[in-house]
Amino acid sequence: MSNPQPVGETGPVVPAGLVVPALPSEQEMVDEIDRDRRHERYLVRAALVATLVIGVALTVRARWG
Amino acid sequence: MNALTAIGTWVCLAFVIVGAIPVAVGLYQYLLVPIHPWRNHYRKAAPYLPRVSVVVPAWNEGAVVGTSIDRLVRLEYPPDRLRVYVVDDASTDNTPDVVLERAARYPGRVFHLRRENGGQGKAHTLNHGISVLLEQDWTEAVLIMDADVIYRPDSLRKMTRHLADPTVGAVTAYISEGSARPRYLTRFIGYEYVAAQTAARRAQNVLGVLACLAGGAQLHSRENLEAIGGRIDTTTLAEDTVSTILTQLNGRRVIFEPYAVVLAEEPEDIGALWKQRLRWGRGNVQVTKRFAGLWFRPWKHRRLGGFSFGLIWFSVLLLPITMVLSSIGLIGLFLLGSDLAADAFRATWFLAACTYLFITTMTVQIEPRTGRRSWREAVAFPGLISLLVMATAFAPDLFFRTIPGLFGLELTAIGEDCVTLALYAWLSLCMVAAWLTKRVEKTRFGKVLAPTLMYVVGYGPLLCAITFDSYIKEFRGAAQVWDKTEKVGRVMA
Repeated sequence: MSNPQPVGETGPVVPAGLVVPALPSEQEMVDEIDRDRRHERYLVRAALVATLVIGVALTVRARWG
Repeated sequence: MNALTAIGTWVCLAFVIVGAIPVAVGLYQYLLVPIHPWRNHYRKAAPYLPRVSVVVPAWNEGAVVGTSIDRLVRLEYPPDRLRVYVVDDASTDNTPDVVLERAARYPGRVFHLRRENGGQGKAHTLNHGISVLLEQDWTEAVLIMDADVIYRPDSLRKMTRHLADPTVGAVTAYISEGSARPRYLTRFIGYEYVAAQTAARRAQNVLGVLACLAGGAQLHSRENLEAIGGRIDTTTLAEDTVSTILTQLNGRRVIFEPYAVVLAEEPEDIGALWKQRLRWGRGNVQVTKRFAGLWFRPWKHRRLGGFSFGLIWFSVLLLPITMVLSSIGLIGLFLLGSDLAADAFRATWFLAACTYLFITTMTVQIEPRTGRRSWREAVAFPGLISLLVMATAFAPDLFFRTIPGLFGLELTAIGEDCVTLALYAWLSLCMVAAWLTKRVEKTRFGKVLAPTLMYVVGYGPLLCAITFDSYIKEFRGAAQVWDKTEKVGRVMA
């Protein structure tokens, strides 16, 4: 068994018949990083909701526990 | 006698406090997660597309490796900057045929490397491939993955963007459970991965130190791989953790990228999960011993040796022991006739209940897709019995009046003592119950009973029981074999 092409040799840049997804432009990738960074703020909302749930549980305990 | 009682009381109380530490540390980790929007690596990330060599270790992976290769060559990445090296570890199935067919289909991009004498484990297989690609100047970064994982199209370039910062040595992705039709156990695993990766590893990003690069998705810069010896550790069962620690000890950062998503196939039965996690657990014990001079010594390494990271590391590693200590402490206080027993029990489980509510509510929001798919497993993660015990922290009469009352019963004094002792012992008994669940799975009625028991006993206790087993196996010096997890190609392609 051997490789069709020796290891380390460079083949065609885009093999025939291969559908290669479009690579975003550099600016699009910069925007994507910024978008991902800003999207992280959803974690704050998640933490606030979690805190609220604990608050409800403690209230229930204080009232009826 | 009074002095002895006092000493016994303090010792028991100390045990209970030690038992509560992992719970508090779990909550602490989750409180770090909402800081991630401000303490992350995105400001130093930039579009960067180095020449990446992908190393895929494969032993009898014919069912899955073809799809993985197909997805790799279709990544949103410049085709002339990506090469795939499948290291065939003397497979006896059709793996060589599948890989060679792909090598012919994608010439110059996919390569088949064959080890004629295999079976030494994943690390040896990886080293065979790494030695080949480091011989060439072409490689600027190395992606180490598993044969069964499927990379989302944008995942690799979302990882490489962090390597634009030369202080970063390695980047890891989020490994998501990827079955098209998950069974109960894979839904538990899916939820666990959200908690253990997208939450816990974000917290570690905040601390600036990572415990482990996921074995199925670790991207190293060439400089980093060469700095850690140009090879993967072969002396432990946790080679990915060793690489992570060595990278950071060498002064480079390790980053978790939550938006680089990789789908993986996970075990569908408890036996296979036990085998996989036992390997991970034993690996962690070995890593702890190997870096024994590092923990809680910030002067050795500011972050790896830091107090926060040490607490996180040992809270996971020693969780089963702390659970047993907690039970011993509570029962001890009860037998000593101390009034502290009930207070300590309520305080422990009250903390556990608050932590559970916070962690569960956050986790299902962090990854809403898994949250929707696995909400039952999220709720039942600690087990329905543990949930009832937690509920006693909020409603102390639950086990003594309410539940017996439902059946028209009233507990006698002896009955109350028995229930009390059972509640105090549950933190230890739950691991025994989890082990029994594994045993039940092998029986004739296992397919029906085991899932039910898993929800009742809990997935968390199962993981603790496996960790406990890993101590025993390490202590006994059991043979260090690489028990591969069987993969059949269930991941959504």
